Amino acid sequence: MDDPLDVSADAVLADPVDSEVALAVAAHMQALWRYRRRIRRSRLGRRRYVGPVPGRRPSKHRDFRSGLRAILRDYFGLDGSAPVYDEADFERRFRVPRSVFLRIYHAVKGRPFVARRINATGRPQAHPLQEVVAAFRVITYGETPDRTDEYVRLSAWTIAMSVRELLRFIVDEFGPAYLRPSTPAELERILERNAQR
Amino acid sequence: MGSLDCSHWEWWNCPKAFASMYQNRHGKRSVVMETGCDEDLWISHLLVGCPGSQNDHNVMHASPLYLSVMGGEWPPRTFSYTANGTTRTLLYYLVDGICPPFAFFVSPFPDPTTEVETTFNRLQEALRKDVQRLYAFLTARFHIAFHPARHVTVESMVTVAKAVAILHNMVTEKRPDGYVSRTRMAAAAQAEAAGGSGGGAEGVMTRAAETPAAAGGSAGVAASDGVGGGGGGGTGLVLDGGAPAAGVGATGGGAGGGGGGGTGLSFLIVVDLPPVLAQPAAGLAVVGAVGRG
Repeated sequence: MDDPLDVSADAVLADPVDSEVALAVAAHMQALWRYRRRIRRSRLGRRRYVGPVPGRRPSKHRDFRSGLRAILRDYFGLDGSAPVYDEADFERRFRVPRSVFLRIYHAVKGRPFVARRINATGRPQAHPLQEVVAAFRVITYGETPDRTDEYVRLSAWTIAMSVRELLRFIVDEFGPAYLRPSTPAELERILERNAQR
Repeated sequence: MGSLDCSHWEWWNCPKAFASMYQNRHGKRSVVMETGCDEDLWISHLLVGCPGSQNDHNVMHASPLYLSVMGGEWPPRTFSYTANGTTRTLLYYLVDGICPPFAFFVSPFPDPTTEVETTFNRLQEALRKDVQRLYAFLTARFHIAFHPARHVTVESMVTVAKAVAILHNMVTEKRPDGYVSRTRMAAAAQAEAAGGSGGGAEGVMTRAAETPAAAGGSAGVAASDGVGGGGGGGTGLVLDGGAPAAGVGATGGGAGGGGGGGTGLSFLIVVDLPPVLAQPAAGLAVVGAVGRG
């Protein structure tokens, strides 16, 4: 009886408390097995994502290029002409000065999600500028990605993902520099100004 | 070191299971953000993600800022300032009445009776208003933080709030002259220079010249500046006492003309009144400006 491996079922069942525990454990294990079988069956039954094939809803013909052209025409100037909206409009729309916007754009444009992709049919996908502009519109206006679709011509899913990616990127990239305790130099400046006022 | 306060951000998509934990005192689900900022509205401390059922006190106890102060790591003791002839080395934050009376907090008197206490409270609130202005700025500038959050997890809300704060800091760094504190200081320096003191006023004056273009950049920013300028002007009036006209003139220049809105209008009325009537009216205006934040 000293060796735990020698404990037989009879010995366990002799104690009523232990038998209850054993019953409960067995029931729990059975439930787990049932749950696992169900999960596995549902996973097998689910169809994998296969993209645009006959029988599925076709992709909408959004004309990505028109969205990019509109952005360039409005805010950056197309074909050497001046942009439609000036600096004040730019800052009002994007809530940041152009220099800050371009700094973020140039930092993020090579990132895996934001960088321009070529899809399976060989066509280029959305331009990084479109995604960054779409994300900024969602951030500054608080509007839904579906609404931004009308201007930048990207699907709501793409825009929601680019918002998420851009926010995470900003936190990772600029967080250490822009969200930190004050440096001694800043404290000195604050004290100096407090002394003045 | 600046002002410190908490604000609630309503959480629209709060799961049912978390509803009681995140329910704030207004009966809405929300997430608390604790923010510290200086006069330029540069955010130096941000803590997001505490459940809305916690009050400012609980949030403070979870704050890394509080823990580092308690652990003696912050603030650095190499600085000193002199107030009322006493030199101290422990820098402080301006807070509201809920915070406990620690040495690194300066909170208003809970029940001011004497004139000294009321004056102290008035001036303290006028300076602590910075952090209230910050919340107006953040939500007016980035509406994603203004609407109730449609995120499903607290993590994504934390990411959003941090990113918004970072963007705000980037703009603040880019536009240090667009804020009312700078225009106020520039106006004061100009007045001083006009009085014959001189001494390095040129640099300040050029900054003041650049300021209207910078402040006119966005409508929301201009409106917020107007409100802040009104409050600042009110404080100046009370302090100056005998010469209200000069203070109001400086405020009007700093707030960028038409950006002042209703607050500016009330001060125009104050100017027309005789000085005897102007004194209590200005005091009321200060109370209104502080209470609105």
